[in-house]
Amino acid sequence: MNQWSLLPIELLNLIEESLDLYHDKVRLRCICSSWRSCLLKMPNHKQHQLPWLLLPHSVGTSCAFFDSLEKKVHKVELPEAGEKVFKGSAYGWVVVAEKSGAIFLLNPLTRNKIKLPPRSKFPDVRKYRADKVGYEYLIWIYGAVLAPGRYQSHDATHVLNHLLRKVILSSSPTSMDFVAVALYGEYGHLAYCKRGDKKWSLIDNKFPTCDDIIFHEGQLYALKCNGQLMVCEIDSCPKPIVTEVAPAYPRIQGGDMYLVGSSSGLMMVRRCIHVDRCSISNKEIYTSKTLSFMIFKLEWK
Amino acid sequence: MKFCTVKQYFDDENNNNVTNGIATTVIPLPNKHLKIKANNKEMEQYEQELLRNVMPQELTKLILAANYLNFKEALDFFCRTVANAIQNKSVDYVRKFFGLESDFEPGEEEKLCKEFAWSFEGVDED
Repeated sequence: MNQWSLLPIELLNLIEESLDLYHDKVRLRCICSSWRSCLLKMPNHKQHQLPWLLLPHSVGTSCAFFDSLEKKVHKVELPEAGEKVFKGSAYGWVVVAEKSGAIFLLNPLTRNKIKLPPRSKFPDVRKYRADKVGYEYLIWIYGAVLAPGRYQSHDATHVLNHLLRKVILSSSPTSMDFVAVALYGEYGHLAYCKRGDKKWSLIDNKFPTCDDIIFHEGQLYALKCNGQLMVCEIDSCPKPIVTEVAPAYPRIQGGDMYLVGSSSGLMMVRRCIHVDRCSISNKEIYTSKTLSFMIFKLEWK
Repeated sequence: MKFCTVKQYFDDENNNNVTNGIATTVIPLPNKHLKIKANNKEMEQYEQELLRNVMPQELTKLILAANYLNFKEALDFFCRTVANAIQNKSVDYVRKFFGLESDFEPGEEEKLCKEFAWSFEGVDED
């Protein structure tokens, strides 16, 4: 009698956990039907594994991922993500936004989908009409220094490409209490939603605007465009509280700002770019070139 | 702490969980483990030796014995040994290693191959 077929489930899982490569875990589930049913449907995402990089310019319904560990490109069919833009990724899932306004989490390997409230349910949307082609959204544009706030119509493509920058997750979507946080609008405002929510709720829409957001060690941080670092308490009553953690930093002209988390702490990265403008056939062409990166580490005093 | 189950083993008259041969391999392991804990290379060599001298079927007995003896370090070591032995190998190779046969329905296995085509590429030569 083959002893391996009698191996208790917990020991089979222990062997599976000892496998480093994701592919090996998938192949282990293709050995025989009883192992396939004993092991979890898909392997748990191991946090320390090198991530797959989603390559731009996907063709048709297939997406290409670069596996940095095995130095290979994997093509994965994703018919679920039609005319889509990827707005973020975490814990083995990608955040997909569609022209229709739908926003959902998609696991490229298991094909599971988790719906989030659509773009039309964000705090800045006054009205949404799917049939008003070219003017689907009526959006509140917040006032800047010399201009008052106003309503403006936007078409769905513009909203998809420019008015939803990024979505991050507090934890794996498989956990019941994950929170999705979005950086949206022309001026980088913040909203969140929890599992089961029908709409996105406002966290912060105060100037200066946010350039990046990150969950780091269980806390939500937002980086303002002047270098000010804020921490956001979503669960405060009656509404989320946003407090300063680090003051504004003198800003270098023309920089993009990012927040990066690592085991040694939170870091701010500035990408210094140089923008060139030229005219070709009466059209203004802007090209930008990255000159350097500056990395700042957050010091807790 | 490591050997709390050992006493129970020797007390039980009819103990089928751990045969003598396996106990000989598992019980000396803690000493070796402690001695060469800092030296990963020697541990690798010991692993290679184990794989050469011990048939895969025996490995499962080692795992079951280590589990029964509640010997976590040995259990982790044997599971890692198995994992390393099947790393980046094809499904057929892994089946042969475990002495198992495919019992999928005819269409089912094809469906799996198609759905997970990306994970069947680039395996080591058998």
